[in-house]
Amino acid sequence: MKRSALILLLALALLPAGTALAHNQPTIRVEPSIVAVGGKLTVIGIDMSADLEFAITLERVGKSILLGSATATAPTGGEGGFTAAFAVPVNTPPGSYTVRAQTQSGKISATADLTVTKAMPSASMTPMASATPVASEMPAAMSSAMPTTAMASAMPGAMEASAEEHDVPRQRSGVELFATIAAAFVLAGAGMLLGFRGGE
Amino acid sequence: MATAPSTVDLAPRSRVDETIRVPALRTGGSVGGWLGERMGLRGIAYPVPKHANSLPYVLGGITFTGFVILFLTGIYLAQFYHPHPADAHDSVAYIITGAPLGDLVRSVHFWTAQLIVVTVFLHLARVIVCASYKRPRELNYLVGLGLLAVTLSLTYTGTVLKIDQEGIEALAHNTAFAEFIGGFGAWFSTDFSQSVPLLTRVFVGHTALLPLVFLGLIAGHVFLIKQHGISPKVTADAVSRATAGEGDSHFDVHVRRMVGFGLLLLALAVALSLAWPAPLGQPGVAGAEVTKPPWMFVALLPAEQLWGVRALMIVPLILGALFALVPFVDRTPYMHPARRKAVLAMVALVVIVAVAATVFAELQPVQQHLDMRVIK
Repeated sequence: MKRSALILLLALALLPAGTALAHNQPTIRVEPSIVAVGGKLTVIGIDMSADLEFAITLERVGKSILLGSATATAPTGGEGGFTAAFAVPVNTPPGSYTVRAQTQSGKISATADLTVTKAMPSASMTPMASATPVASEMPAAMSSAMPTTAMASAMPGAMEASAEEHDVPRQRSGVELFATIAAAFVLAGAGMLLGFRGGE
Repeated sequence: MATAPSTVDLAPRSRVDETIRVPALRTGGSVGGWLGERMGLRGIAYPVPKHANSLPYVLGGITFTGFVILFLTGIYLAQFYHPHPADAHDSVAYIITGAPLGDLVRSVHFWTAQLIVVTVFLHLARVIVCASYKRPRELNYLVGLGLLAVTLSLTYTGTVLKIDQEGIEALAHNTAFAEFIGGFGAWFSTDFSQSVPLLTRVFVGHTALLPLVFLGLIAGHVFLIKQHGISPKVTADAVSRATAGEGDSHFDVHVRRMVGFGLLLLALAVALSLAWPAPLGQPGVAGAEVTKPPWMFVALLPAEQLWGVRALMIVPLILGALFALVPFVDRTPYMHPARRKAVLAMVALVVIVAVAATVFAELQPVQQHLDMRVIK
C-alpha cells in the first residue's frame, strides 16, 4: 500500500518536471489550427536561439509543401522566436497536415497540427443575420484581441462566425412521419403500462 | 468414492432452497419462463422495500435506460460520423439529410442526453433529500458523483463533435483549459499527438474512454446498492442502515418500472425530436466567440468571465468537493429532513446560486472571454 502511494507520488512529481524539461525545446504553434485552402495561417515559434532561420513546410504522407521561411529574433539575453504569416497554397489538398519548422541542418525542428479544409462555397460566405454580435460587429478594442477572427474575415473565402443554425433540409415523408408518431405512441403506451401498472 | 463432507453438500442445497423461497418471476409466457429459468432471471426478484419501486427511487434506473438508448443511437450515428476536423461538420449534415432515419436518430440521441442530465440531477436531489448518502452508503454516493461527472463529460464531448460554432468554441475552451493546467492537461491539447487531430481524440473519449469509465462506475454503483440494499424509507425517526435482503416487494418490479419509465423517456425524446430536431450550427470559425455553452454548463459562464478559464477547473472542483463532503459532514444516522436542516440549507444555497448564475448568464449578451492567443 505504502509502496503504491510512493510510486503514485513519484509519478505525480515527475509529470510537471517532464513538462518543465520540455520547455527548453523549440516549439511552434499554428493559429488557427483549422484553415481553408487559400487561407492565411500564423506560425509562432518560441524557445529558439536568435538568428536561426527555419524553413516552414506543410507535411503529410508523401507530400511536403514549402510555405516559406522565418528567422528567430531574441531580446538581449533571452530566448527568441518568430511570428510569421503564410498563405495555404490554393492547390493544397484538404486534410490533416503537420506544420514543420526546421533549420537548414535539420538538427532543430518543431511541429504542430494543422487541418486544411476545402474552400468555403460562396453561398456559405454570406454573413447570417444574427441576434448576437459577430466578430466584425464588435468594438475595435475587442476585435484587436481576436487575431484569428480578424484574419479569417479579411481573407478571401472566409466565413463569419455565427450562432445561427446551419441551413440543412430536414425533409420527412408522410409515411416516415406517421410511423414515427405511431412509434412514439406505442412506446408511451408500453411505457405507461410497465411504469405505472407493471407493479406488484 | 469417499463419502462427501457435509459442508460440500450444503452449498447446492441452500441455493435450491433460495430459489424456492423467491417468488417466480412473472415472465408472461412459457417461452419467457423457459428463458428466465435458464438465464437465472429469478435471481433479480430478490426482496426490496416497497418504497424502492416508487418513481423517485427509480430515477437512477431511468437514467440508466437513457444511457442504453444513448449507446444504441450512438453506435448508429458512429457509422456515418467522420471524426476529422475537415469532414466532421459535413458528415453531421449528411446524417441529417442523407443517412436513413439519421435526423431522427441524431435528434433522439440529443434529446435523450438532455433528458438524462435532468434525471441524473433529480436522482442526486432525491439522494440528498432522502439522506441516501449516509453510512454505509458513503462510498456509493461518491461513485454516483463520479457517474454525474462522466455524464457531464459525455455531454461536453458530444457538443464538441458536431464542430459547428458552438462545438468549436467548446473545443477552444478545452485547449485553453489544457494550457492552464499545464502537464496534467497534456491529453487535452493538440500537442499530445502529432498524428491524430484533437477532435478525433475527443471522439475516442466520447465513444470509448468515457463509456468504459461509465461501465466501470455503474457496475460498482449497482453492486454496492445490492450489497447495502435501498436506503430505509424516510420517516420522523428513520435511521440509516443496510437493508439488503429486507422488504415486502421485489426487485423485478423495480426493473419493470425502470424499463417502463425508460420507454416513456424514449417516447418523450421522439416527440421532442419531431417538434424540435437536434440543432446544427454553421461550420465553426476558430477564434470567435458568439455562442453560449449548453444549458447545463451555462452557470459557469459568469465565473469564467470574472476569473478566466481557470474558473472552469476551480468552480467544478469546489462544487464537487462540497458535494463529496456531504456524507462526511452530516454524520448523524437520522434521515428526516427536519433533522438535517443545516446540510439541506447549504445544498439549497448552492442550487440557488447555480440557478441564479444560469439565469444571469442566459440574459447576458455573448462576450469575448477567452484569451484567443491560447486557442489552437
